[in-house]
Amino acid sequence: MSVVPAASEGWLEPALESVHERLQTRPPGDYADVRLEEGSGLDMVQAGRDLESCDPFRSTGGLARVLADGRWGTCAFTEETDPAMALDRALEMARGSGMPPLPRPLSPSCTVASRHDDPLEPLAEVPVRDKAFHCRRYTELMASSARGASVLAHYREHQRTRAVVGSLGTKVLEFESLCGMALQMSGPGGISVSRSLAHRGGYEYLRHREHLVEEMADAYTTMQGAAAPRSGSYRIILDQRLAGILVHEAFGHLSEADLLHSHPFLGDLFALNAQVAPETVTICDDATLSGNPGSYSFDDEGEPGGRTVLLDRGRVAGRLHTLSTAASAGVSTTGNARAVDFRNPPRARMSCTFMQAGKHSLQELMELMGDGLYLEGAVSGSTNLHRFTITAERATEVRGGSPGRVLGPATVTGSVPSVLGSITALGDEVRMHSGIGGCSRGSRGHLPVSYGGPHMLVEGIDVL
Amino acid sequence: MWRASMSSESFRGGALDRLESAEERLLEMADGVSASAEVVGTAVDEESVEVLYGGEIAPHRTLSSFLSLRIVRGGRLGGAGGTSSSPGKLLDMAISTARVGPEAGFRFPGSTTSAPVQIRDPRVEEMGCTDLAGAMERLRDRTAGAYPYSSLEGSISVRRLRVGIHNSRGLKAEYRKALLEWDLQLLVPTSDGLVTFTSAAATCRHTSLPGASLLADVPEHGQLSETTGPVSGEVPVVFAPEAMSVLLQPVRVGVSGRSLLAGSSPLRNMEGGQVFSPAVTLLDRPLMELGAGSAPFDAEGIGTRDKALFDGGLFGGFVFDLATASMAGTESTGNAGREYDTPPYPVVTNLDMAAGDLDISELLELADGGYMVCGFQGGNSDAVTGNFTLDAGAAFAVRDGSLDARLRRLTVSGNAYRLLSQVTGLSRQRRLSGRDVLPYVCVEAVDCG
Repeated sequence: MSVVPAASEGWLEPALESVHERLQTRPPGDYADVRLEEGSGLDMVQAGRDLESCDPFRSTGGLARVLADGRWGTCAFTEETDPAMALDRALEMARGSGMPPLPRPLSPSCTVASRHDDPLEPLAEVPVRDKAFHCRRYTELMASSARGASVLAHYREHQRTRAVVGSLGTKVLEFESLCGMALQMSGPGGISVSRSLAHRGGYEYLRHREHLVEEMADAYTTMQGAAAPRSGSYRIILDQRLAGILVHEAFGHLSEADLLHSHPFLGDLFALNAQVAPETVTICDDATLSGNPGSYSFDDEGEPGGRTVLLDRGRVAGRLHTLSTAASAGVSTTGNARAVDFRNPPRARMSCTFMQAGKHSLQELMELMGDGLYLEGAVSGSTNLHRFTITAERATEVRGGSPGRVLGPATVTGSVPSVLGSITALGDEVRMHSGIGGCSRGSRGHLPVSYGGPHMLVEGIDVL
Repeated sequence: MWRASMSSESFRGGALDRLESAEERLLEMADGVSASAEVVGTAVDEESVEVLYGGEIAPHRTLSSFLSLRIVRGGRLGGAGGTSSSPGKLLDMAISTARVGPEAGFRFPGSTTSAPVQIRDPRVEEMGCTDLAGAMERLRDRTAGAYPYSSLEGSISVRRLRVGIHNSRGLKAEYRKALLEWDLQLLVPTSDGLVTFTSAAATCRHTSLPGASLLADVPEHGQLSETTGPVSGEVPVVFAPEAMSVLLQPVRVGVSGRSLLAGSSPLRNMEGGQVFSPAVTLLDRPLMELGAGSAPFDAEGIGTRDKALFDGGLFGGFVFDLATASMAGTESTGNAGREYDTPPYPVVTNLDMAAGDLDISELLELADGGYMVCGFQGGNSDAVTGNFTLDAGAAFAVRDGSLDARLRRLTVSGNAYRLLSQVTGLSRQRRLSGRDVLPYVCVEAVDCG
């Protein structure tokens, strides 16, 4: 028997039809839409020998938005609330708003479509005891591979059916299935090695991942007694995961149109067509990279997800837009209106963001670097939009183009303009990554995103 | 027009009646298939305003209700949580998790001894989006007046809550409160980048200008345009309450009975021992008047009580919920916390660090030649070990008892437990940050670069 019910349990489709009829016959305001969600999930943590938590949840509700006289009002609701009442509350919010009105009407594409993930091994059909068994098995493997280490396996899944219906004709529905796992081994001296993987699809993705434990055990062993690198300015090579985090933190957020509107200083610094990086650097956001947790067919305004070139050969080429930011800027939406769940209004957010490949192998990059640090594995990343900080799991000293001793964790920091201008060479293979968490910008919870890039050689970056 | 209240639609008649009915139905169903059961129902009516693109202020309303179920079946614990209209589905999920869940070593309480605590301020309960938008506009005017090119972002909200708990041993209790919350950032562009000031807090007490602490330090004490670079090495540092709240995160984790049982707490076997400087007294205060984390009973119905986590630097002991207390062979301290969709776990509520006897200027004299950190904007912190490397959002050099030039950047690193053992002074002035009331804290030697 499944512990987690399949995502659609019968509330959403009748609610969708009822809202559709209301919006077609008596639309409130100038424009209105309602996003409906019916979802369920499971969060499980195995810490050492103990199943620390096994928390299933179901979450069903919606978000009503009304644009009246160019001003938005929104109302989120759970399933026991009539969506029609939520539309009335949203209209009240809009009419009481003191916001300046949008300068132009919205231009939704009025798409009518649906898409369903069709995983090989649907999450709802895998019993919870199998998932608990896998968490236990991975922790046992980690414990036996790295004696004395504290070990932890964290499994997370989420299935939901998401629908958007709009007063101008939009009516889309998408079923999503996401799952992932994080493995961690930590020991004395602050040594911590982790791997996190997630995808959009079924449980099959998490089977036969024992090789990850072997990789982690090797890394754990080599980090025993390793000293942290000395503070200073270095040439560094970032691995593909760290390059992806740099792309997301250091540039991706600066492409979110609402953030740039809020910070004119940054808008000036990253004006369209400004050359902010060498010509080798091209960065894209692509919601259509299926299988990645950041991908989707329709955004949370019902607009089709697409590919947007953000940085084209070093020049700022595009922004990520919602219907509102697009109306403000006089352009078309890029289909990047996203929200963690129905409790949050959609904002311009990234999907799958990556830097395109260059032409060098990792060995060639090390030779180009000569002396410096090769950073691998991601612990964390953050930005205040102008400065970023990224912590790598470990650094390897490189001398004369050859890797040497392994050092401990390294935290690098810098200003975004400076680091973009200091990228000197790129590897020839892009890898995409996702974790079981996501991006937490200004909202409750984490939005699934994916990020990636090639190995990246950067000149003169500060290691703390 | 936006005004709602505790008597608004979520808290009268329809929605709340339906939630209470769902709680009772779920408990009855669960009681029929398990040895014992517990249901927590939460109704939320929230209004918020958020600063959007171009400085616009967007209103938002949330009407929601959630159920959380825990059962003991076959001697094991199972649970589930979620939105509230399908109790049968939650029960199915809880039964499934009870097959793999931990053994239940405790019983649900048959009654609660609700502690007397003031958690309702009518002025907060009556706030609506109009009031919140007005507060945001006043704050934006003040910040723009101080820094014409700055941008303010974030949100202010008022969240009206009704929390009810029932269990099969007869416990039935509820409380209501309204929280005023804000999470705001002020970004000030300078010739060398952005300076970030943050203010994030929650309280049940009315305040006319949430986020006023964004401007608490700088206009009085320093200029953003004069800059200097940090000198690497160990120097004295004064941490503002916003920075201190971040540094206390490992302590919040370390005092949890869950960390004790996992063997990961640096405080294991330290009860009664001198862990922090004698100047540091840190209380957990669920009975703080109008505190955001205040409540008459915890998420399992156990009566709450204030307790000293550290008294004169001596560690007073861990905090427990029922499950961790039973595993540790002790009693619950009334510290069970719970999200809408998770089972209980031990948490601290409102942290209260005792004030010192120094004015801020006197505290700055202790840090002569060092720095003051107003808050953090990024970095890496290990909540288990307490090790951290954090980037200051705004920091200033300290000279002759006052703030001097702004530091173009500053990274501080070390260990939170060690840092709190090197406290040389605390300010008289305290401020709300997060759910905590904290003073400015001077630390003798902090690794800076």
